[in-house]
Amino acid sequence: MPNVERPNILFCLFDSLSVLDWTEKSSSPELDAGLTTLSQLRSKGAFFNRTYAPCPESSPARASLFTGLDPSVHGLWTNGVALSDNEQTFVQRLAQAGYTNYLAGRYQLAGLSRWTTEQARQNEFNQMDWAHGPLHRSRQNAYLAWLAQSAPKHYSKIFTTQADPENTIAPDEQRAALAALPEALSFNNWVGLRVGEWIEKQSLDKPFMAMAGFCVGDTLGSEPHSITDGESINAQALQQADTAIGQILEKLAANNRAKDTVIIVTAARGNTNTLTATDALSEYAIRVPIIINGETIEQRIVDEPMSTMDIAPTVLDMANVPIGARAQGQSLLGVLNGSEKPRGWALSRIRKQNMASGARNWQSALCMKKMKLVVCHDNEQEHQETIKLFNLQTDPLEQNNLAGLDAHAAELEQMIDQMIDARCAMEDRTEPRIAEF
Amino acid sequence: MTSQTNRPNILFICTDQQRGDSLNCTGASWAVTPNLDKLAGEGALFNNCYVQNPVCSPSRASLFTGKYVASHGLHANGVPLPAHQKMFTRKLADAGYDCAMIGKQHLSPCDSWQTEPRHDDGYRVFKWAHGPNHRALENDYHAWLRKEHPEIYTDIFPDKGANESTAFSNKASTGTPIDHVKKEAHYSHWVASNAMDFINHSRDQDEPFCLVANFFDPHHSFGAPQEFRDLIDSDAIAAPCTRDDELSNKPSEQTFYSETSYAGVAPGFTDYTDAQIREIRAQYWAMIALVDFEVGRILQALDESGLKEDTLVVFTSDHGEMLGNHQQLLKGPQLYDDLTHVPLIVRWPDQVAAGQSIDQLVQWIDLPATFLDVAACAPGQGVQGSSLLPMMTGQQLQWRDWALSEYRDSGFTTDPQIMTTMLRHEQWKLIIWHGSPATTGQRDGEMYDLSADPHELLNLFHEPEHAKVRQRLKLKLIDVMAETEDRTQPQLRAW
Repeated sequence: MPNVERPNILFCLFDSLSVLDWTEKSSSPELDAGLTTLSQLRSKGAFFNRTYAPCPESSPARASLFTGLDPSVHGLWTNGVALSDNEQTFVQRLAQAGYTNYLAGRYQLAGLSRWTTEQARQNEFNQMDWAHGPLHRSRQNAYLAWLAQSAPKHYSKIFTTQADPENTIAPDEQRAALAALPEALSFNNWVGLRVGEWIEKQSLDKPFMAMAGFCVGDTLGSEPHSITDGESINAQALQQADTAIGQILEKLAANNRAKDTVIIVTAARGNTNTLTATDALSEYAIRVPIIINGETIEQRIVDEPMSTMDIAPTVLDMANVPIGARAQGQSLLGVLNGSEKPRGWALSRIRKQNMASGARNWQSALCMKKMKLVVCHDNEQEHQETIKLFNLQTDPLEQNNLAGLDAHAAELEQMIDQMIDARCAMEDRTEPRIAEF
Repeated sequence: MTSQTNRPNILFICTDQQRGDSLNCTGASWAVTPNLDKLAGEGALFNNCYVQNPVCSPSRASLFTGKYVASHGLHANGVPLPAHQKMFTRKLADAGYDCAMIGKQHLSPCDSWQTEPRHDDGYRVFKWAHGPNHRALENDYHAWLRKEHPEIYTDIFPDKGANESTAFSNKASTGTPIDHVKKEAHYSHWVASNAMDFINHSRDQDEPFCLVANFFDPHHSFGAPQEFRDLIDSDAIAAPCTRDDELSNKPSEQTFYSETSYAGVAPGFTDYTDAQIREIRAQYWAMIALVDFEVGRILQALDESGLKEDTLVVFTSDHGEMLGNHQQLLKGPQLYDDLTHVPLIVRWPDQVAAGQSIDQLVQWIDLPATFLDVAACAPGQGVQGSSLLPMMTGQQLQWRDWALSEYRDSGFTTDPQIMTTMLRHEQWKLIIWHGSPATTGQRDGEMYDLSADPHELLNLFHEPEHAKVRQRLKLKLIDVMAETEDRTQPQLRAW
């Protein structure tokens, strides 16, 4: 029976969502105004306000989120690299522990250009309605298959030509036609519908994990910006996702499963709306929310730097599944109940490399509660300062680089030392030492 | 080499705990290494080859996987090589090479006389012996010794009463009995004899071969057959490198490692008199003289089989030995050249010009990249090192301007754990002794100007006049740490 020991888990994953959009200094407070479900969940549950994605690129960030490992350990170092079969996601671990798992929407643990279909991993989801986004034209896109069948006229207005793997940029007319879809036919609405229907069908005697893989970034699954991988957040899609979560919650309540279900809402990466190559590791790009709601979860805001690597251990902890040696994150439940100290720092790195030219955008950031250090390793795209140092408390929008200032020289040296030690801490030492030599 | 391909045989000769400066041709005028000196003259001698970890198992894991310690996961002695890591010998075997290993491996725990499980290594011939004192029942050297020299075996390894503990050779302050047996019964001789046997008899004549000959010497315990001790003039050996009060301006752990070695498991430098240290050093070079003799036998067998022109020969070691320098013995978290700089000789007649002396900073993980390159095995795939072939054949190329070595509580453990990182760059060496969050230990550092202070006696890390250089090197290290992350998984799609 799903219960406090082994709750159902509703996992709502946004591709892009930034915590800064919700703070007082937000550049778009209107985002918060219309998101009634998210606002309610945030105000009633545990809200981790200072969680960092280990990478602003989607796929490496997701691999870290699902494995609980740093990108240098799981090896999915940039978009287009597939997560090795050696690594286990928390979904696979839940399956081994007897959970029934479902996915509707986006996953992204492998490359998807050329309209590539993402392959299922072994013993992971019992059922999948996979769809990278409304404009990703893989033949296995379950959303497009459904749209083509349920609303062929709308479908053919959006997709006027055959899918061509050489041509994956979405034309403006296509976007306009997609935006004109009635809400009931929209992608995120479909995700919510699918998840709700699937939950209804689950038997009451086994715990389930249902994952809603929303898509709110403006590329909507089509070819991303080649240099920054940045995209603005599509306000319409975001609203639709918020509504969809509300509908899933209603289904949970209607089926008497609400009290046995923990709800987790988070994002793979932040809002990369204003991204230039130099801003790849800005707070907007890498700081994401984690919101946890459940019967045993008390309302709280945790303002210590944490990582999305902490999500996998948290989910397993919730399900009473041993976290195992192959994980670097820590359980957020321990932080909530005070039995564990929050990590208090996060590393985030971008290792983007142009496949053809080899041009690099490589940066590393150490994020602490007060200070943030960003080091640019190699950037041929734009001239930029090699080192940036920010006081996030007094300058949350990172406008004043303190790195060159004598007054901050000692702080800079300290942060450099800590970045070196933090990187050392994140190396792969998960294989246990079983003997002296 | 087969008639169908230009792929050479590979003869990889690796000793254990041999300092980069320990050959006669690398500056040790008292060393008796005629065969290795000759080999260097016939090939390329590398003057700045650095290993990626100063202790056995992690360093060897780096060699066999071609990856840095942070990437292959075998971060300390006693950690088994993670199952999904691939050895270069497996890739060579898959490409048609006939692969063999004689001697010490240490890619899995060996304490308590454990036998290492076989990794997916690609070896058709596997003659394993962790060391001369290691009493695993599968120790092939002991099996041979029992048969060929039974009186020696039963004298040294009785059923009861001697050498019953794996701590025996670590605790020995001088050589142990097995170190001093006549050369015909010695471990080094057994390794060479088996290597010759492979070359002469058991190799597959239709395929190129890869023969790994892993000697145990000059690893401590410090003893050698008298015949070879007699070749060494201990008065000719330079005194240990140190200066008064040297350790007072070094990280404080080095004082601990001076008073005891192996974090308390073995006698420390301060347990010995000057005369005893001199004798240890003489025995060390006696062991090397024996290794050189045995390497001579292997090379002669190669010659006599007509394989010299078709074989890439590499001579090297997995890390060095403190040998009393800086008032320390054996090895640990120290990242002096004493431990991180190893000998490297590469000979490939007609392909690699003879008599080269190469000063470029190279890394041990460049060797597997080189082997895969000459074997035409998708060069560079899955390894983090780079092939040395272009450098050795005089081609101009972009090469890294640094070398990295990392100790991650890798030897006998301490509390707090010690983690150190070495960066070599230009004339500098930076060594970080890590602190939080990597370990609860105190953060500290060393910095040496090797052009002014090649013996690493003067620690500049805390000197105010060197603060700018120190920060520059730290930032360079951050760049290098980025460079050395594991990106061996291929990018199969643009996004």
